Amino acid sequence: MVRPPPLAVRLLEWRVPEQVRTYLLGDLEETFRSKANESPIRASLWYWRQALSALFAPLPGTVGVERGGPNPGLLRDTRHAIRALKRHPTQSLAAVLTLGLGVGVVGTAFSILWGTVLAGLPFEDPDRLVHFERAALEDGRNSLAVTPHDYVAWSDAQRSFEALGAYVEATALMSNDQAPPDRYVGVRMSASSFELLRVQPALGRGFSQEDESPGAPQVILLSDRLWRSRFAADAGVVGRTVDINGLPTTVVGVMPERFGFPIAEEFWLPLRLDFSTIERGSGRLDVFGRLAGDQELASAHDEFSRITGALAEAYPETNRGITAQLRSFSDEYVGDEFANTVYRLVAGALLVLLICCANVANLLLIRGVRRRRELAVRMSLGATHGLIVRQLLTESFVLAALGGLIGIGVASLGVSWFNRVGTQAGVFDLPHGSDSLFWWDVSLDGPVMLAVLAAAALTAVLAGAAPSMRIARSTHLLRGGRAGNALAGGGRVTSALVVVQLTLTGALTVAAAFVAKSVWNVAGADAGFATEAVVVTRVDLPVGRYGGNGSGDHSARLRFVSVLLDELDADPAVVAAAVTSDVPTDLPITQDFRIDGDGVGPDVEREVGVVSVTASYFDVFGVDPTDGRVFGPGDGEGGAPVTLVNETFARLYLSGRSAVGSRVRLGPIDSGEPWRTVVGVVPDLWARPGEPLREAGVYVPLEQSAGTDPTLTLGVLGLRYPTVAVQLCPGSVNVSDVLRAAVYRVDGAVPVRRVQTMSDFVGQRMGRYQVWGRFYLCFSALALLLVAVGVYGVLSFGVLTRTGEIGVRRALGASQGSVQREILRGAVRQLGIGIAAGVALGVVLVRGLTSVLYGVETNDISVFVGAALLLGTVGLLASWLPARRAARIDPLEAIRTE
Amino acid sequence: MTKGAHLGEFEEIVLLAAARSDGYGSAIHGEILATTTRDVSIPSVYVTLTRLEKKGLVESSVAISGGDRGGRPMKVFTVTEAGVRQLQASRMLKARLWEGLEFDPLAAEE
Repeated sequence: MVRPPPLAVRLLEWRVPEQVRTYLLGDLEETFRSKANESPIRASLWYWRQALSALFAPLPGTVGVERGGPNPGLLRDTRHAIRALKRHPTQSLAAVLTLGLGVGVVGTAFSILWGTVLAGLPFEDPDRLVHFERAALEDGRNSLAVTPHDYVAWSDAQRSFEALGAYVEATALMSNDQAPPDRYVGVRMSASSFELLRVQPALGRGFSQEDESPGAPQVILLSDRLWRSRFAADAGVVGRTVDINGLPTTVVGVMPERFGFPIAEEFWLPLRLDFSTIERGSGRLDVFGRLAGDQELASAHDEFSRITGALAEAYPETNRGITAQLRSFSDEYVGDEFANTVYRLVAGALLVLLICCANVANLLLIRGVRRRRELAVRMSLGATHGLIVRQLLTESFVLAALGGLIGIGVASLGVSWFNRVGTQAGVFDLPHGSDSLFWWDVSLDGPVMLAVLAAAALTAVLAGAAPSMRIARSTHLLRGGRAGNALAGGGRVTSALVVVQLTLTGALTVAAAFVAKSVWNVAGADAGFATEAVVVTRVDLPVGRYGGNGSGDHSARLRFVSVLLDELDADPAVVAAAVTSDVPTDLPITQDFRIDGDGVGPDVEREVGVVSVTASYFDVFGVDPTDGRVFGPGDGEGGAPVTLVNETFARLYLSGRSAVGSRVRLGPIDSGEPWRTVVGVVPDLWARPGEPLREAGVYVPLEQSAGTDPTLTLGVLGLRYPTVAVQLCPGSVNVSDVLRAAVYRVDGAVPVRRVQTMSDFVGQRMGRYQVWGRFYLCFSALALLLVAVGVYGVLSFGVLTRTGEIGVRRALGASQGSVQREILRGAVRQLGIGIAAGVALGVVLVRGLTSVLYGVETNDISVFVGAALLLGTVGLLASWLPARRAARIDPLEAIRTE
Repeated sequence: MTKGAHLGEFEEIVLLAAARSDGYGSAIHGEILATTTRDVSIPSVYVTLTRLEKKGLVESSVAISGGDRGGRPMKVFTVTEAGVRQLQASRMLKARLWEGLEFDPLAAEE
């Protein structure tokens, strides 16, 4: 059902006197609804018109009815203000635009803050949801998953929470219905969780306790998105059986739109804990709870330290030193780093707004001084100081209101840009491996609008108050024939404002200079491997056909890989094709290792990233060995065990000996893994996005990665979710078709998800530097522009007010040059103070930006110097024009104006 | 007729619309819209009705609502005897003034 616009209703409730309020609102709602049947938009507009007319209608019972209007003074002031602003259109436009940009920037930054960090989960009392982890603080490990045994023990013992819920991530290969097989990401979740979240399925039922028992029939809940994309929003899906990971599973319900707890899940399976097979101390769960009644997090902490203490005594082998870590759910998932980045963004935006305020205050002050005669006449006719202040404040409110409107436009542009670039996969690097959360909603809605309006109102007060007071207090206005008198004070205020502006802009310019260098570095970053014409995709080998995590199923998967590579090599569009566990920028699995004969004892723990690859991997990525050779056809399943090491590995562990020919063994000391001979050294490739791998890494042939020890998971995982990388002939089209078709020919039941070019893949992972970077560049460009306008305006004004004085000096023989120098000297002093203070403030600001800076150190002096020079140049340019004008003042003309 | 009791144009329209309709704000607004095609604002209708009530030309009572009013009661205005007399007087006055004029549209219809 359509409802009248809430804000308009609020306005009416505030404005309409009590004796008619209910009736009037009832009448309006009735008419609104009949209009809404035809067009809801027109009805809303109509309702707004009614609300606004009520603002000005002399409603019964309101003050001022007899005089024929609400607060006529305010209306008159508003009308007067609009007239006054129209009289100086350029100046007013400049002020409105300035405010609009400032308010827009704040609106954008705040909507990001609100939508991602502050709003929280879209559930009842979301801040009472708490996430649990375990910590072994003695070992310095403070982010451990909760074991199923601890989860149950905690649930039974605790009283601070209504209950605890648990989940663990899961993937589902869905097949046997109309759509092609595909893999989805979701969780196995306890039945209690839905009640804790206060969420019911939109269709069908949730999980019951029976669904959790290990022998029960398989059931699944779908997300709204999955329901729409795969089941065409068919309400009849409830009760249907689909094939999940090879098991027939009944769809029992569909969750509401925008529900994706905990991250952005597409389905929920019941959490089944079979304690007959789970050992104490093993297994991993994510646990959360809802604080009960009036319990606080602090007291819950105390309770949990008692509970974990008791468990440590009862089960010292598994629980000694283990404590519980409790944290607000949304804080846990958003993470400090992201939140801090966004807070700094808001701080930067507020700086811009402050600069805007200073600029507008200057404009108002200057205009107020110009209007001194008008104001003086009004005061002599009986206007009080209060009235004059009110008049001037009204003018700045009108400016701010117009600026607010433009600000909303600017903010909506900013928000849509953020939503376009920020929601791409991999841009943000959040805790728990996510890059976006289901409850994020960056938009210009209620609270954000309020913030924008508050920013506009704040601007009005900040920009309007000081000038109004100062102008109104100048009682000698009528004597203002000599401008200098009235301005002695005004000049000081405007100069101070300019210094403040310069300081704030200095800080932003420093930040922006760092960001600019970072963005430059990102753009010019050489990946060190081929990214053009290389496409990658991950394929999921279904457990039913290719087995689970056991190494026994290795040969089936190897056969798939080898047939697939033959298939791809036969395609004329393919230059080279490879299968690997990780492409560059994936963080590889790490393993213990030993080096034959280096004398390091077994008690020293060392780990190395291990990537398993087929021989053609280095061809596909265009990487040549710096020493020795890469893998060849002879390094297959039956060949001698071999490995490649990267340069960092060679430097750290094989220095002083020939890397090629050394022997390395991977896996735990007692594993049966063979010694592998190093056959070559390859350059360091990226591990984390944008960062050269400064960590040791080794490569093993995929065919040799099965391992005799099932704990050596690298090969198993590498083959369970192999990534296919293909280099295509230049100019190839339909690259994803080539890959899909090849996989389909080998096995029609294997899903191929997203096919991406390597350059997109890398670009996306560099995205966060770009997203945040562009914001700061925007801020700083804006600030520089504003400060140039501000400096120019103030100095021009100073010259104008000193016209008489300068004229006299010139008449007494001062040269053009000396006048110009004097004006510039004053400007340079302001610039000097402002820039010095600004750079100091910038040092603090930049410290907070490290997470969005790529390849720049925050103590890079050259960047500080560059920023100061830039600001100085802009400031000097803005001062030079008025100084030149002053120098050209004709003495006769000047004295005549007196 | 004293000046204080004189009906303004909008007052007369509202008073007539109240007499022709169910007599509450939304109905009066609808009636005015239907007969004059003027989409006047409901708050201004209220302002006028309150003034008419003060003059004793309408009286109001509260009625429990049906329909889509968000559960709010309605204030129903009925034209008083004085109101009826006022409307009649206004009509008579105009009729007398119109009498015998060639461009009287009503006369042309006859």
